[in-house]
Amino acid sequence: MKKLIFLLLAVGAMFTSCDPMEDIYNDLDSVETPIVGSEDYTLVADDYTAMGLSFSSFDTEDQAKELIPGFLSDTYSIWGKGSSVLVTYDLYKSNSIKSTTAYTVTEDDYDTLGFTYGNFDSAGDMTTLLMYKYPDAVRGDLVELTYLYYASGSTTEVTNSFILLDAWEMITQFSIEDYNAMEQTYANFSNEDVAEFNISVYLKTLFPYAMEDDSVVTMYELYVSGADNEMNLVPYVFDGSSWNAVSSVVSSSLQFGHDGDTWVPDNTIKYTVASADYTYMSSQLISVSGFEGPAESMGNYGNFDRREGNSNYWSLDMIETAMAILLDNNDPSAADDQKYLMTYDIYNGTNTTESMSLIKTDGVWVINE
Amino acid sequence: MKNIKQNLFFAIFMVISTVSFAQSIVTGTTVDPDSNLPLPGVNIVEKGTKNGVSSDFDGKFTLQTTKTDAVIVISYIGYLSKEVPVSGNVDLGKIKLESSEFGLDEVQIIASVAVDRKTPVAVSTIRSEEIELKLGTQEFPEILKSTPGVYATKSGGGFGDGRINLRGFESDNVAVMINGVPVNDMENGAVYWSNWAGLSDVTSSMQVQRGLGASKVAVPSIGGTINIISKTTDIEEGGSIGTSVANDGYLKFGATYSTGLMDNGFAATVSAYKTDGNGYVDGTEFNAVSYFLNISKQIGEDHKLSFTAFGATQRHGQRQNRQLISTYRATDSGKRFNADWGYKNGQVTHQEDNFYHKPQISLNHYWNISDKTTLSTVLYASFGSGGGGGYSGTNKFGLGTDGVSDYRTGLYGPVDFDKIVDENEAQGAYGSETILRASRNDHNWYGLLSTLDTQITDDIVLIGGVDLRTYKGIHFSEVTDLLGGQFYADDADVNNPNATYKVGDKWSYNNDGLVNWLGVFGQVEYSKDDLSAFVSLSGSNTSYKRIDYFNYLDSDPDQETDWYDFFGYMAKGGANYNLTDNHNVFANIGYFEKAAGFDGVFIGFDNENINPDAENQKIFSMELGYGYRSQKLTANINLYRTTWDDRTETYTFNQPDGTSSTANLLGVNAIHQGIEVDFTYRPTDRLRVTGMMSLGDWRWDNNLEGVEIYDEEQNLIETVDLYIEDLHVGDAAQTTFALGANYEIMERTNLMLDYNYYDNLYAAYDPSDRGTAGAPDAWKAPAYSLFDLGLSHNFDMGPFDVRLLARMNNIFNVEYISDANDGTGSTANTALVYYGAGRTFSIGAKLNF
Repeated sequence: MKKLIFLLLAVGAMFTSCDPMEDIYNDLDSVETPIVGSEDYTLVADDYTAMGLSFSSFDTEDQAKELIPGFLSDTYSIWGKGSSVLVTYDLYKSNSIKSTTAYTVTEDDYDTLGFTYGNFDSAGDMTTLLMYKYPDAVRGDLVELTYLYYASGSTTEVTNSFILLDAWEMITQFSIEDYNAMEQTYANFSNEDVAEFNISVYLKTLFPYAMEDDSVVTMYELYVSGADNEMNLVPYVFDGSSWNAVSSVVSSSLQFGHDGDTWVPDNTIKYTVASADYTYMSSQLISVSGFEGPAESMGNYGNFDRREGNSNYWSLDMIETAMAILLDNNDPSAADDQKYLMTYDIYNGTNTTESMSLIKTDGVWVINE
Repeated sequence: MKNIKQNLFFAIFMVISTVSFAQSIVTGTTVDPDSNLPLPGVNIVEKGTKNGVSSDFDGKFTLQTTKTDAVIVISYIGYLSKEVPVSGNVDLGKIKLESSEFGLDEVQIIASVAVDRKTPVAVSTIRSEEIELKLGTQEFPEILKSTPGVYATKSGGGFGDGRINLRGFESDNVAVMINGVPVNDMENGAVYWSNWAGLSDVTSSMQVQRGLGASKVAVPSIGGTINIISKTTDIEEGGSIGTSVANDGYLKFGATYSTGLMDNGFAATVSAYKTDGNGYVDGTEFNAVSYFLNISKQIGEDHKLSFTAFGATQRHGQRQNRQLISTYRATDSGKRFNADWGYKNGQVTHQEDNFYHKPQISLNHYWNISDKTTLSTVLYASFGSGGGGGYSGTNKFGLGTDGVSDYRTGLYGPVDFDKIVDENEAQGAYGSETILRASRNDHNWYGLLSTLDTQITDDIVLIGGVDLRTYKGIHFSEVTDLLGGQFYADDADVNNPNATYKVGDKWSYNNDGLVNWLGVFGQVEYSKDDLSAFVSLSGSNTSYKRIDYFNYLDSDPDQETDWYDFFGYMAKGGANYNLTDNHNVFANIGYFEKAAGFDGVFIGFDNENINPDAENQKIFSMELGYGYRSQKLTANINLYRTTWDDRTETYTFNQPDGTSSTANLLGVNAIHQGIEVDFTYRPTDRLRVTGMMSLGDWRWDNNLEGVEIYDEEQNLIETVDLYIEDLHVGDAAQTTFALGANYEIMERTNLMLDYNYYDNLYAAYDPSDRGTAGAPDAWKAPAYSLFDLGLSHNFDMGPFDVRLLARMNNIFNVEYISDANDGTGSTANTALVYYGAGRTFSIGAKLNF
């Protein structure tokens, strides 16, 4: 009998040697749990050098998208899927003239583009012509355009210069009278700083009724001693009280996200739903059929009830609806393809959070699978 | 009755023994009065001499007396000493000792304690001595963990937060009686063990009657009945002092003293214990003081009066919020992790806690009206005061994403109450944003239980009585800590809109639940030779009334509802037949209807939309049992099947006029069936082996499909579907094994090893939430095995009989899940769980005098 008892105890000990939680822990451990970080970072001079650039700026946005992921992989080597970094960098936007072409608009051009009177009559018409005529133009291409323009009851032939910067812009040029008005004896400036300042003052006279954000591209002649004079291009923006020259180095930012393998440009905004948001969603949904109970519960507790089968249960479809309502309120002007990662409080027997990724598609917020 | 027979036997024996010798041989067998089993270790001494022996393992003894005419003193701890005059060689036969506790036999009648080989129900009994050995720092219900059909855990791990399920039924379907007085909550039937902190110190015996049970009064005995008999008063003077220390700062000390039965007929026992500790789980610090008082008086030959008061005042931090397995793993504390506490001004502060004090006071009167008729009456009262703490207002207590929260110190760290206080202070005249409150659940409960027991013929006993109770539950929320703010604003009280509240104020809700109970019962017992049988009938009327001081204006007649009556009844019967001295078989069968709970009548704290037609729950149960009794082996096998029909299920909807109404859904049924085996084996007088196997098959019975709910104008409001057929009942392990050994390694020193195995524990879920066809069974937690070790050593030190006790529970520090709530998809990843405690230990000493 004693042997039997010891046998039973031995069998029991075998049970015990097993760790009851082992299988569950193995399953849990087999799911990768990357370290998720979020950061705002502004590139410094050394960073551009590290990326093999000789200047502390990118020439194009595409160049930034190409080079920054490698930099992020080195800098945030332990961060994984779901991490995001908002990178602020300098973009060099050249305002120099790369080429100059002269062109006179032909009758065929007017016909082809539908100008049946054989002339232009609004500012946008020249842009239409230039886009048609120079589809492969690049930044810095200048066209001296001669065309017929109808205004104030008569058609006259005019010649103006246009340059492709971010878009085609008509260039404001200065006559000798203008230079004199800007306190220059000759039809040029001999100092760039003086030119930039004086033009900014003079533009007030030229455009006394300018509104905030109005812009003008100016071109002046710079006297260079012992060489040919240069034509210099300076864009200005009006801030409501004065005209400011636009620098050729522009501060830009791009958000990158880690997709599990590498960093990719990702505009996802991470947003934690706040107390007032629950109140708003609740108020918007409280009388919507099927949402009455859940919306009331959300208003009371400031969370989504995620106990399946409970009368106040929020399914993922219902949460998507609520999030779309919230985003339309909080960020109505978001462009298509804008992504949001919404983190919200839930109750599933305990208080915790869940996250949902949404993207604006055709003006509507939907789950981003 | 048997005692009378025995006395007669001795008297006759004395008359016929006329032959005298200089010496004589006295033999006999000492037996336990309840089980009729041999009682080893009983002292048999010739009075006035040092000549004595102990009864052996089989209870047998042989004493050679020094004189022909002698008086033999038979004594054993916990039993009254017995003096038997002898003359010459004599075999005293079976000697039954009587309990030394005053009035214990009588209270056992009131409590319907089952008698072995007579009462046809499945029982397991644990006595005070074993409770002392097994308890350690465990929760009171955990003493029963090696009993078939029982699943007992610490739940969240707070002091007194333990729970017990019996045959798969939760506490509201398990009747708990203390000294025969039902203690299940009058409104919802639940049992709160924290009300009874310290009860283990004054428990004389704890009997689990599985299934219908032996109770004569109507009780919710669907899973079974837990019958706790407290100590009364020791007839002999004496007492004890004791202390124990254990893991996590546990310290307990106290004393008990009994005057013994004095010449004036009085006897009194007082006992008090203080227990403090930090709790195994983080943030579950506790303090408790428990007390017990019994004063008894014998009045003449025929009357006994016994006054008992006991209770415990306690406060403990709780782990209220279950967490994901992945959350526990991510924390430093692991299985001890608790999110519901923090620090305020350097002090541990509990976001969730519980405090309660419920003195239970009773006056028992036992009256021997005649030789054949007795009347036992208990007049009792209890006054509950306390509740559960939590927060209100803005929730700043979440764990945040991956454990990062502005309101916690460190990853998954304790709550930073100081930050909440700062924010509340900054709120200034806007008042606190976040406060701590207590949901108070006070009550006043008075009852009378009276049982008349009369012998009609030699074989038939008729028992009848009344069970009267009146109860008032007082529910309100109380502001307990403004957390730095000036006040808390709330407009829940229609009689005081735009109110501002300070600490101690009632706010949010304030209502009373009134319950009256009128019960009668009758039972006929037949007992002749080897057959005993009973038939029992009882009926009860439950009346409910609700008063709501906050949701209704003082001028509104709806503030107080009418009384709503619900009738329940029980009919049961059974028989036991003792085939031989070794074998017995029994069977019982019964049907009862249980009235819906208070919340099934007043749904959603509403005094207008009342559910006056709440359905009774219907329970049908039958059971077969077999018992084997021999000197070395006792064993039991039980087969049971319990059907539980029409679990209270209500559906609330709007009538066309906008008022809400309630439909009662019938047909949520469950079947609990299974087989239970238990045994005790004593191969030698030094070794005792106990074992148990319980295989349950507990499932929901059927789907509810297309149940149509119509409003008054016969518009179809809703079609309800519940897909629960064959789903396993959750929240209790359906398969359990236990094996234990108690070995006397040297004189008065015992080593105990207990093994428990639990399997088929499905996560808890509400069948009302199962509205999707084809959803799987609830998540099944991993099976687990636990080993517990105990050591007891007894020795004499001067006038003291000293007992040292050491225990280690879960000696291999097994990590396991004891409680789980089912989550989305019913997987391990979504289940919200509590881990069971790891290795714990306790060491105690008790000095008896």
